[in-house]
Amino acid sequence: MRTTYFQQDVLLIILCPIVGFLIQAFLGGIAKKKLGPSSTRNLFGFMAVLAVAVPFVVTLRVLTNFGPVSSPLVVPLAPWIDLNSFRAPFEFLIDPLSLTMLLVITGIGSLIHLYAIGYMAKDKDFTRFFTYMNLFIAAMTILVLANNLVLLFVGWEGVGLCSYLLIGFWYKDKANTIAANKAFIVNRIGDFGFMIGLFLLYCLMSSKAHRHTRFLSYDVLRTSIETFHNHPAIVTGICLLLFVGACGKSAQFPLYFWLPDAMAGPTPVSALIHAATMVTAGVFLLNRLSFLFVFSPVACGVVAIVGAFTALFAAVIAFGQTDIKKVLAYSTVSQLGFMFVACGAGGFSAGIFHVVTHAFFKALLFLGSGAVIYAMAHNQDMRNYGKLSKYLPITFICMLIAFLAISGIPPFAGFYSKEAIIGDAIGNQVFGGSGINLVTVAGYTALFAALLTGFYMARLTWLTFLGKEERWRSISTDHSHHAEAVPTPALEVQDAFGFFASEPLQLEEEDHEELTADHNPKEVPLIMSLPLVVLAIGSIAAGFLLNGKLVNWLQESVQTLPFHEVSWVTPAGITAGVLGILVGIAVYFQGLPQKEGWDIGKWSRFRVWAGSQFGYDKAVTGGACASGNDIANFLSSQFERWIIEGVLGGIARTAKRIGDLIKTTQTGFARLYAAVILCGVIGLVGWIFISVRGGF
Amino acid sequence: MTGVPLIGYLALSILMFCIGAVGVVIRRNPIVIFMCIELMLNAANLAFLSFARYQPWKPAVGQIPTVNAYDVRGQVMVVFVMAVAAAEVAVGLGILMAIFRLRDRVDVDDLNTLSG
Amino acid sequence: MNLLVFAVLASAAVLAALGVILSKSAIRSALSLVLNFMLLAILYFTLHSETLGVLQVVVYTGAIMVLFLFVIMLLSTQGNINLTESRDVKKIVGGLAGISLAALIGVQIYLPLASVPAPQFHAPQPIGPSYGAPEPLGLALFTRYGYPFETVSLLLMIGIVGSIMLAKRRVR
Repeated sequence: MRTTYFQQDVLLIILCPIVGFLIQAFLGGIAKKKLGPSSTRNLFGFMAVLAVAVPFVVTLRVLTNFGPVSSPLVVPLAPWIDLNSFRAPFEFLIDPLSLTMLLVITGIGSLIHLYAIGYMAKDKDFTRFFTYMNLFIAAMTILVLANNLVLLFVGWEGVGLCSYLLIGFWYKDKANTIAANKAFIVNRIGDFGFMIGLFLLYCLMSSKAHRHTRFLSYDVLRTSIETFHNHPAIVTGICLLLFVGACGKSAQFPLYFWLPDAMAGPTPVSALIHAATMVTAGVFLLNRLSFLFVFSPVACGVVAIVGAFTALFAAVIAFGQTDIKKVLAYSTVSQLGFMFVACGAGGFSAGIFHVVTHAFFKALLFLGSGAVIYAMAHNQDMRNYGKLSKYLPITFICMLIAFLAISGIPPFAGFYSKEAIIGDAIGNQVFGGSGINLVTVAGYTALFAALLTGFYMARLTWLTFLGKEERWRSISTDHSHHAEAVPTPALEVQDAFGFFASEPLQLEEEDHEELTADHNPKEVPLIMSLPLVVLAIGSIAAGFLLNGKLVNWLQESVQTLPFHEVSWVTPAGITAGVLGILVGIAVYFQGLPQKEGWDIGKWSRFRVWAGSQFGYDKAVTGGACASGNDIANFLSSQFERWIIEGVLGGIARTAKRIGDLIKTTQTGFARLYAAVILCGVIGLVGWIFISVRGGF
Repeated sequence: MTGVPLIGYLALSILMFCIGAVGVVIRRNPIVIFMCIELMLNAANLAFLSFARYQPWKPAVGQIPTVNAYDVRGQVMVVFVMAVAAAEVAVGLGILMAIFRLRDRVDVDDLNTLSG
Repeated sequence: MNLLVFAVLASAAVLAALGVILSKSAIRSALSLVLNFMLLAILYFTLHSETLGVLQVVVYTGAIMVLFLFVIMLLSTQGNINLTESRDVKKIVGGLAGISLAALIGVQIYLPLASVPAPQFHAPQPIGPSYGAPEPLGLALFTRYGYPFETVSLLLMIGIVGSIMLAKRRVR
């Protein structure tokens, strides 16, 4: 009874965005022709928001019906892969973890959809944008609700696809499509690991004489602890391979470099997909499989140390960035690193806690930066900003809240989750005893990264909103040409104020209006500022409202390792945040320091180096491209010539020769054919006569 | 017609069929070729009907031979053959007309554009 | 007596059939074919298949052969319909092939028939009162053979449409 009740709700949650996607995809173009762009925008924008808001409301209802202490509930919907030895149906899992993720996805998703109506208002591909956005929400809900790893993989690939489509949304600019391709390809590398991990898990589970055929479903997996216990090496392998997948999706160190380029997409996309939801899928995966990871201290150690290194590495890179969205992108990478530290330390639910709070303040930061970019004629270079608090008061206050939240200042949201992470890591018992181990090192590293977080966020805030001068006032052609010398490629071609170019190059010629000295920034419209305010409230309140409660609640679905309390973590965390901010203020109080100015030649070597990601991106991308090129060259020169031309061409030539030979019998004389048929009949009858009847 | 054995009808059928087949091979006029095909079809019809007439049939004890007891399969087959022949003639002659519109002379040996 | 009548009818039919393939003129061929069909209709009557005999006259000699003659007339106004049939090797080969085919099939059929002593192969069987009447035939067509019957009617309709499309002049 209970199951059927939830069945409808789950169906509603999944179908709403899918239906929205179909409507946008198939009726959007027609509507634009029939109704005109303006009413299409109102109608389809509203529908897009509805397709995400309804699942949010339904999720809330499920939450109230589910109750605080219920055990996880499997909701089967339909059969899918149905073999004798293996089944993976369309079945969904309602438990604290999936509900938490659902609330984040649909809640923040609907706010960002609302914001995007304003942000994308003038784009001619308005409905295409919301087509992809709704499809993304659909895929993401499938990802978090799935009750088996195969179905999860469907959502996993679906969000990857939407990410690709949305990064390359303004596809006429080649840089955007390159960024989209990069994201997709790097994700493939991660998915490769994920799939191999999945196959390994399949082998491990299917080799056991198992009562269940649904052995990739979580509820079955959780009861197979004995199997995991008996095969520690295989479990470690599975965990590490799945972690490779998580690294790809969540932009961790070896595979992080697609995320900064992903900022080429529209800002709402950056906020929703590349900050708040999709990139947390890796953390979610680790949480879902926490019962697996707790069996492998090695895998946990690797997760923690990779996370910590990423947190530190990305935070350092953030100092070399001048593009406001790039700074936030590296900040996202860094914060995701924190979440992985939590997972590695066995405090999986602390990671989810940070996912929730991070979703609030990072979405807010991105939407705020979108508002700034919107107000500043689509110029994203922070060196052109300054004193914007005067023009954008609402945005400024919201961004300030988010800044304090991400820096870990109490009582804002980030403080609680970050403190939980660092506490878990430093006091971990992953390797049994206390003492110094990999995870503890990761904890200390994370603490230092927290300090850097405060520092670079202060840099962003002061360069953008505060400082002493409105730097775009002194803009000259000289400056704007230097702006192109930023080590990162200029991803968006900027043009007319408030105009979103689907055809940037063409518009550039028509009415190219750059950020000029007499530009007056305007505050964004209500439809865009409303989500900002809501998210700001969330950034303040989410921390102390959920602190402790969320972690307790998640205990039902997430397994955690014990850790001992470290009393000095809280003050240390606060100190790190405050110290970072203070240093930041001290450096950037005046605005743009001379040594970080327009002339990159005067920058410190280290900063330039950090700005170019220490050459990592270039080495990996360039190396991969070069070796791919070599392979392709080899294939085209040798393989093509000898194998394709020789063997396949030889087969074709032989076939042609045989054909030519046989062709001569096709004279085209109908009577000859008839005569041949006649002869055939005679032969056949004669054969029957002789062989079947045996002659006279 | 009592007194005539089955083999008589069959012999006629065989002869007509073979004459038709020979005609298809030796004649160049497409209309005559069509006629030969009709001849062959009719030969087959004759065979069907004679087999139907001569088929062994034993009524059960006490059963009065009624219409339904007799098998009409042979006759049904002939009806179908006639219908198919009619369709074939209609289409074939239509094709002939279409070809005549393009050429002065119709000789099947001239229509060899399909040669390889 | 019956055998004699049959022999006359049969040999006439064979001669008519030979006339179809041997006469030079297409019209003569067609008329020979008409004669052949008429004789066949009589033979159907001797087999007690009266309905089909009537159908043979109406459909073949009445409709199909008229169509043939009509086409021949139509075409002979436009061009030389009497092709000069050259004496080539095909004729000899064809004739030989035909004779051998006839011999083969004949032997094939004669031998098993001759080896069966049962009288039913040598004399017609007793028949019911309405054998060959339209009623049982129609009944069978519309009941047991309904599906093939409908298929054949579809075939005919397609044939009609197709021949109209082929024969009509292209309007440019």
